[in-house]
Amino acid sequence: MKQFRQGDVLLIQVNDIPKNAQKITEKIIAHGESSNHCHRVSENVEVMEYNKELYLHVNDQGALEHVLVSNPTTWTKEHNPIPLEKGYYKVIKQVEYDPYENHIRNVMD
Amino acid sequence: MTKKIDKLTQEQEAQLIQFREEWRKHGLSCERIDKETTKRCISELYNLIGKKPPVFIFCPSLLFVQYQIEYCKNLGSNLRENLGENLMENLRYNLRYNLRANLRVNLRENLGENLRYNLRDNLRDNLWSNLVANLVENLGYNLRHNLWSNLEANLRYNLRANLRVNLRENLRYNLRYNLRDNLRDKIKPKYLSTNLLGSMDAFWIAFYEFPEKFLGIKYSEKDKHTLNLWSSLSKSCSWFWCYENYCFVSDRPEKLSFNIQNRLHCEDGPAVKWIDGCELYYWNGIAIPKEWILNKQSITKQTIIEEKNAEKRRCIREIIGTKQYATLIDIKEIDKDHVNGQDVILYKTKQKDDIINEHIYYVNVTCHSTLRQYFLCIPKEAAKNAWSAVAWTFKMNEQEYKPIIET
Repeated sequence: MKQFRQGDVLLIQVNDIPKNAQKITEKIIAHGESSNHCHRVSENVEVMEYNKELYLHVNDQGALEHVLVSNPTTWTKEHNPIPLEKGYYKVIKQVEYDPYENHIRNVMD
Repeated sequence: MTKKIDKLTQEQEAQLIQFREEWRKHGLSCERIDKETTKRCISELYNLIGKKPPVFIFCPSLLFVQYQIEYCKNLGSNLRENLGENLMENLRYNLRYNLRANLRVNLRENLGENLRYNLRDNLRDNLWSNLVANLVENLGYNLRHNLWSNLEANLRYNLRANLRVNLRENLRYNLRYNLRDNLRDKIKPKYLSTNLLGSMDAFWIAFYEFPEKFLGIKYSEKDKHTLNLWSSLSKSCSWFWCYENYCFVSDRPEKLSFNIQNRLHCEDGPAVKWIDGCELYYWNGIAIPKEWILNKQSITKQTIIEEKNAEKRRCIREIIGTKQYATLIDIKEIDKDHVNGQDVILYKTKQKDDIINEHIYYVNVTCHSTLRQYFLCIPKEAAKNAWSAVAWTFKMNEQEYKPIIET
């Protein structure tokens, strides 16, 4: 299945999404902890959540954009937008290992 | 009906760029506050919403305003009990100002017991909805009536959006979050927000002023007068907080430093500094501790290990250089791959770590868009080769990880 990477976010095209996934209204799928930046999907993309994982349902055509949190129409000029064709996607956030805590955590940026 | 303007002349195009840059200078001005103009404009704005002119309390920095308002709200009660034992030490240390003396000068004549009362009525929303929201609605209607939409979009992009990113998204966002963090970390007062930004309101004022000054668009006398007040205010002060009878106004910073992308950045000092000594350190838009800039020797292996934020670790690597970074965490290259034009390098510590008695593995990845490099720690089982290491960071193995687009 096709994979698309935008910085520390990877989208994997999947055949379907879990049956009990719940639709959420939030369009931001990853926040920058130390910046005003975020990875956000376009308004026409449905964001679903299941078991703390995010899934996307693109009905027609959508996009994954890297924009300002305080102004979602403004591109950060960092990561180019990725066009998304119709289908389902699983969102994977990049992780790193903490050897001292023996713990895996999402990459914070 | 007036003929709508559909494009700018060559002369107006040149004026637009000049006008935008003049306003950028106002927005980023580090000149001292013009108290008389500030008083005049804010008093008039109070007047426009049916309030009498306030008593002005001028403060040297945004942080100082927060303390000052909190102090005033607690007049008559024991400050130490309210804000904690360390408040006065913190204030002296952070602001290098004698708060009590300053307050005495500012308040003795003007403020009494009723101050606490008055500070309950924040006029922020009143001023905003009556004097900004209404104004931009009227002016916007006027522009739509006189300019073709493509020209309005052009002005919106060239003036409002361009300045807005610089002033509001980059600068205001950083200052607001830094203030919140400062207050949360040091003393108890809750951050008091304001949407009255003085110089940083330049982005929307410029957008409405340009058509009036250069395209012959006429606004009503009332709207023009109100716009002029905001415009003068924007050239005279920084953020301000309005209450019934009292107005707290901050001076502008004495220093603002940016990188080429207009992000707060300074390699040898604070990126933002106010005259009371309050200062903020930034590296390419990321807030960092001042020791990283002023005393690079203070960065140790421990600093890197304890920093959980990959973006801040990247800042450390850029500040001290990759060679020194690698020396500090004591690593050697064990595998290298070259994928889609970028190097992916796998590293292993030369010695077993003292604490966990194991080697530690890192993968160095380069962002395709920004070319920034990040060192991410991975577990031993993912360290088969460089590609398996980067695949692990996306919860996959090396056969599975095959992105077709990377931005």
